[in-house]
Amino acid sequence: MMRFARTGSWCTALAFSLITILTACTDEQPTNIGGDLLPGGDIATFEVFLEPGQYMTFDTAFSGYMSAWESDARLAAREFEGVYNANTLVKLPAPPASISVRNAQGSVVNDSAPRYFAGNIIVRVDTLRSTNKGIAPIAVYTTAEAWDEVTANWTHRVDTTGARLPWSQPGGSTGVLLGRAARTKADSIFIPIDSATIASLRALDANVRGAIIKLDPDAAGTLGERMRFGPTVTLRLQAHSTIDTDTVVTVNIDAQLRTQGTFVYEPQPATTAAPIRVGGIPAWRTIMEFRHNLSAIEVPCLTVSSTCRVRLADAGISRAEFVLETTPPPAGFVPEDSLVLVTRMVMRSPNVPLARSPLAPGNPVGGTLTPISPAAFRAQTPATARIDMTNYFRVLVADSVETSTRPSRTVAILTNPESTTAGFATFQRLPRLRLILTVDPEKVR
Amino acid sequence: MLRRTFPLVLTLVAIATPVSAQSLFGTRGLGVRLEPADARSRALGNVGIGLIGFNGSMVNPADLSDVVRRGVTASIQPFYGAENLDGATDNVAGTRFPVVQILYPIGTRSVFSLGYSGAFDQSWAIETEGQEVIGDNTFHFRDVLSSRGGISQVRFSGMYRASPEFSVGAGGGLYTGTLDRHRLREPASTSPDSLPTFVSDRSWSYSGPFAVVGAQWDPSQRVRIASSVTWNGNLDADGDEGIAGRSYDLPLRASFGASAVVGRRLLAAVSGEWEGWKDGDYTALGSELGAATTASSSWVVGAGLEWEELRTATRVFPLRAGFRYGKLPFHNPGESQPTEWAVSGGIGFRLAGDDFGPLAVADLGIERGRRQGWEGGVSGALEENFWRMTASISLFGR
Repeated sequence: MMRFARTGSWCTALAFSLITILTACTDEQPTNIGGDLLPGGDIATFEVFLEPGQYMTFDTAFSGYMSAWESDARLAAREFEGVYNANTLVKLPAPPASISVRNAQGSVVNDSAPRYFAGNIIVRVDTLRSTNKGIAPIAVYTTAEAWDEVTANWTHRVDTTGARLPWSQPGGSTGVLLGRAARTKADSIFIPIDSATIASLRALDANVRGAIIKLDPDAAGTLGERMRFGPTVTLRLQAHSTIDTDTVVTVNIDAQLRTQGTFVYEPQPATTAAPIRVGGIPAWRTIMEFRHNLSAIEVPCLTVSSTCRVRLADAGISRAEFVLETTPPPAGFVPEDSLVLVTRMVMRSPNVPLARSPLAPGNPVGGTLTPISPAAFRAQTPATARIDMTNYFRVLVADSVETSTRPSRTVAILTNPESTTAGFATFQRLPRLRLILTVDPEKVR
Repeated sequence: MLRRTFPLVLTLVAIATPVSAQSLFGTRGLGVRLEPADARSRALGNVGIGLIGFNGSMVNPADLSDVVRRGVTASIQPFYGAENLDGATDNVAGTRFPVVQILYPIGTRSVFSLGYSGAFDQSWAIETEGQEVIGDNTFHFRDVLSSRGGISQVRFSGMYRASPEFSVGAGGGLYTGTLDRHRLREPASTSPDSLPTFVSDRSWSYSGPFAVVGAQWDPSQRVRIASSVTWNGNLDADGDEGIAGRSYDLPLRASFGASAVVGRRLLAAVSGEWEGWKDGDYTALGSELGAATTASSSWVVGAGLEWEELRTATRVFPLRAGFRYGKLPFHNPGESQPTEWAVSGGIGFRLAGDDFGPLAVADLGIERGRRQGWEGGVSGALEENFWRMTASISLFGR
């Protein structure tokens, strides 16, 4: 066994070992000179465009994903863009049979026989999503026929599998005119109603106590307009109490347009040559499938050399975007608000038609970098919309092994949220795929 | 002892801060040659051969003749350089491990050793900044191209003392090592629109055989002459999956050294080494897009003095000085062959010993020198003024 000389030698050995370890741990930093020593070796970043035929196997557009009732949109329009008409239907709440009042002793008591003498139907306007800033006068009528808020449409008041009942008057059979008014302040339209109207509302059956909100056909300034309403219609009633006749009680009752109303419209959007439709009510989705073996696609890398070609598998995918060119949709269907497009994976199954295949849960796999303005769908010159697909595309390119977690190659382009606007997006042609690639010049051919 | 050692530890710890990568001369060919010489040899301007007394270098297997005890020897070599490339300047630094050896005498006539040492250093890193205009966007980025690794040798050596004056030695082993080439492009500043960081890595593993024979002759007790010849086979560089490899012809190497006691406690030493590089393509791995690199025959000569007057009652502190000059092999066509010179100094610490020899020896060598060359090339001339320290320690059992 080796024995070392003295304690002092051990100390020296320890010291030198420590020096060795600490110095060896030096973290080397690069110099900022010397690039010229290695000519022709710079990393290259460049963009290429893949045409749909290069990366896609099929595409198709489907509609019908959400009904008007399920959507947040409630519209009234009168020959908007020359063709589009819409009315909003709402089930008005019944004036309450009793109200609470404070008696002479200061206690709150129930008054079961209030005398309603006046009131307003208050309709809120989404001014940002309305043409002409929502100042066009509206008229509110009772509905002359019972209707089903879930299935009612322009031609039918009930349109279910078991029953299909047409309106006697397309767009909703109007009954009594409850009132008409234009917006004068804030974002609400106040339509005054009298005691007789209130009494008639109380007398109606709940199924037919509906109202039709139209752009006033008899008022100037409504032709060609499209107005979008807020989430509630309020019945604001004023009543005298029988307990304290000097007291005027104001009662507010909201009807939620989201659940107690719908909107009906005509016409159905015409077919156009645009292959991509996204959004609208009912919603359109465009579904497309990426080809297998994306990693084998070869693209030129001319910034490296005139003959350079690189497989996607050998390139760093710095960015991948769908590039879409907008085109005007059919008349009447320009979106009333900016649209955010997203892509989601479609979970395909042999037993389920593609149109009914569910979307994958979780976050979208792509999305527009900035919302697309409605103006982009009006302009004569098309605007460019980009959907960032970088992370998803990287996974597809890297995916060379069949595994249970393999991502679906089928994606749907839709709006987020879906059915947020009655108008929809249309695009001139299938998306080109814009790639920004970064390559190591020593790894390309 | 600890009290004396502590300041030295602190000094070396203080300099072990993050610094730039090692020499830019490593960007051509197989890199910068690493001589398996210990601190004593470096202080004497010696290539590590033919020194009277214990020699911890791994050049000539016959130089194991002065080993009388089992032991270990190891060296470390911090390097600091100021680079000037066609007027642009920056600093580089790094640390190398020239040699580690286990020494094992058997009987009185033979000594064996198993050693590991550097052969070529290929560690460097270069940073550049730039921009690319893509569509409507201008992307600013920072590129880093780095090479990390090099070629080492594992050697088994044996020495046989044919007579008190004459020893022979032989050895053989393998070149080994890896080279990792790393490319990075990252945004110069982070913004929502910036591109993600791009990384590309490639690796190679080196392998190749070599053999060495040497002799040492002491015509008198005051003179020693030694020489060795190293044959090298092909050096194969095998790339990782999908990465092309290649092979390099390594040269025959001849080393010569002599030392003599020329005065009272004064030793003089001279040495030289020659490498006969062949015609061929010595382009560095991963640099195929640039011009092909060639190799020219390289050599180095050096001389030095060792003075043992400084001593206490029980310890000796040899003072050393030397000078060396040589030519480095790798350059591109049209570029001048690089040269290197260095003046050196150093001190030894014989920390413990007895009548049979040292038990603990520490040596320190410091060199100040310059490399310059590659004039006439597209990149302009490269000049590197450097400080190179070498610290060695050798410990022996009784």
